[in-house]
This record gives sequence, structure tokens and C-alpha cells, in this order.
Amino acid sequence: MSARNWIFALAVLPLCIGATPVRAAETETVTIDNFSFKPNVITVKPGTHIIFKNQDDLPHTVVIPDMKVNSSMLDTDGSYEADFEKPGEFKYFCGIHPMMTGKVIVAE
Amino acid sequence: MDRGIGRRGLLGCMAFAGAGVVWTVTGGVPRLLGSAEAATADRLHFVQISDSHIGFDKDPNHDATATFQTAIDRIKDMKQQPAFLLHTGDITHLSKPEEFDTAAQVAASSGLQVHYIPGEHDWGGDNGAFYLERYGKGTKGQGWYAFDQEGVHFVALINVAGFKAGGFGTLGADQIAWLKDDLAGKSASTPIVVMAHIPLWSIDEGWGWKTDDGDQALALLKRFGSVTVLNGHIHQVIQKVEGNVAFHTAYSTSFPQPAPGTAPSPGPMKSVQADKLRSMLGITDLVVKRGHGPALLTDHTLAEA
Repeated sequence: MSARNWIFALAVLPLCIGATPVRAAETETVTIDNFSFKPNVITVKPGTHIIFKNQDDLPHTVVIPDMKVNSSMLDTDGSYEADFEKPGEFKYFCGIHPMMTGKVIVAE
Repeated sequence: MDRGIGRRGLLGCMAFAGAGVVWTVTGGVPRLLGSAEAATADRLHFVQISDSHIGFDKDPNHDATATFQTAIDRIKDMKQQPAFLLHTGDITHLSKPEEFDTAAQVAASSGLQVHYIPGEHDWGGDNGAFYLERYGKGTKGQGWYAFDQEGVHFVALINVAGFKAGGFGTLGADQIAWLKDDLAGKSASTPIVVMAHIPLWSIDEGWGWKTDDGDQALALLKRFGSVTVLNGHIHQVIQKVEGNVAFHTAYSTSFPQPAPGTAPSPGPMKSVQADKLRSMLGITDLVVKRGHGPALLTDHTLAEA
């Protein structure tokens, strides 16, 4: 390592040591079955990773207007994954069966 | 513009039609006939196919292309060939280009022109982009259009675009305004055939078998003496007559769905055995008389010889 690189490494080391440890993101799963989202309403902490997994016999989609999410069609066993970073209530629905609705509540 | 032919009220005819049943609508009252051959030579003959779901490969049908081909073969075998075919949507299962290709190839083997509208399965993958690229030329708005043949006016409506959370099928203000303009110059004696994927009338709200603003379209149609509304989406035959309007939903060519209220969800009837499947799939043979005549509908299952 050249002297110049050593200087750079020493310069950034305190930044790495002082950084807040990355919190392991929690993961939740919402299943889609019998034309419904289960659980229909789920409360999670900010930063939670949610997997929407289609276990139904027909395709479905996940549309979350407030996050500008419009998934592709998820065939049986297909899934869509999203991170819910900001607190709030996020209503969502199936883009091809709009009577199917659900809600993610993100709160500390 | 409303010349007041009006409805004669709900006439209470809502029937699950069996194979080969032929109805004629006279004075708003459905009457059973013996066969579609009752039509005279002064007529327009065409066939409705629906919900081919090319790409579907699960119970109870692991080869939706084969059953769609059977449907087309049934049409090719008809003694009196139809003038054209109407496909009332869900051409494909997942909006994949190869699914559209296969559907087009099978349909082309009929040697007949096919007028298409999309179902939600043709639309949901990319908000209709690929469907419109293939079938949207010459259409208005999000793909709606009209055409005339042998004095019969056909209206092809799109009610699978612009879904809202908690809602149902949607036509939208732009399409309804277009429909009003389209019908404005037509004589009340012009037979009208309307095609839309999701039923324009309410069949089951819990299952989404309804069009939110369907009533607005139907209000524009009520002055006409002969209106036939052809829908798909629910994979079974249900008919209703209201005033001068005959409503009809078609069999699918891919898989049956349960009757309203008989299952937890409207998913495929997975337990149907292979030897029964084709008796629950089918096509609809239609004859519309030019002028102010009755509409004849005959539902044929794929199990019929």
C-alpha cells in the first residue's frame, strides 16, 4: 500500500468506527390466497422488508399508490418485495382484482 | 334523444343456461327456441369466444392452448360459418408476448376476423401497453372502438383499465362520453351489440363481478330496441333480460369458475375431472336480425360433438 493510500485509510477509519451500526431489517410476509391479503392489516417498524407472496391459483398484483408501486403480475408462488421506510399508513390493492385491499401501518 | 322505448322493468329472467339452449328475446321476454337454425337468412351470424387464458397450466386445465384450439375447431366445423369472432378478453393469462402470439396463431386457424377487447389479465402486466401495441390501432382512448356490420352496430368497451382500490370494473368518464357521441346518431331500431370483459351489470360485488359505472353506459343504450351485452370474466353462462337489453356472460375456453356464493373465492374449479372439463367450457353462437329483430344466443360446450 502506498503512503498516499495509508493516509486515506487512516483518514476514513474514524468515520467507520463512529458510524451507527446497520440495524438488521425485519422481514414480514403477507400471503395472497383466496383473493385476499393475509394479514389484511399489518403493523411494522420503519425499515421493515415485506414480502407479498402469491399462494393463490390465479395471478395477482400489488399496487401501493403512496409509494408509486405497481408490481408486475405475480403468478402462483411469485412474490413482490418492498421496504417500508417511512412511518404512515399505506393502503394497497391488487391491480387486477381491485376489490382485494390491504393496509401496512408503519410505526415506531 | 331518448325516444322512450324504455324498460319494461326488471322482468325477472336470470337463468343459468345449459348447453345448446337458445333464447329469443321478444318484447323483453325471453322465449326458448329449439335451435339456432330458427334464424332467417336476413341475419348476421357471429361467435363469441372468451377467457382463453393462454399460458394457464394448472388444475383443472394443464393445456389452455389445446382447449382454445378445440373451441376454434368447433367453429370451423359449423355448417353455417360465422361472419367473424368476438373475443371478450383474458386472451392471455399473464400478458406475455408469447401468450399473445400463441392466441393469435390459434385464432387465425379459424380463417375468420377476430375483434378483441382486453381482460384484466391482458392489461395488468404493463398497464395495457403490449395489448394496445398489438390490438390498439385505430381505437380510441384506452382501446375502445365501434364498428358496423350488416346494419348491426358493435361497441367494444374497455372496463379493465383504471382500477381503483376497492372498486370494480371501470369505464371512466372519457369512455362514457365517447359512447354517448357514438350512439347519438343511431336510430333506435339499430341492433346494438356491446362487448365488455367484466359484466356491465352486477352479478357478485364480493367477487368484483360488476362495473362501477356500467349503469351510465346502460342508460345510454335503453332507447334502443335490441341490445345485446356480451361479457366474459366469470367463466360461466349467466343471462338476464331487462327491458330491451339481453345480458349474457360466456363460457371460458380455459377453466370454469364457481357460481356466485358457492365457493370461498372465484378461483378456478380445481377439482373438475379431466373427463368433465370440456362440458364446462364453451363458445356462444349469436344471430342478430337486421332491423328490429330478436337476438338469438346459443351456448355450446366443448364437449358437444
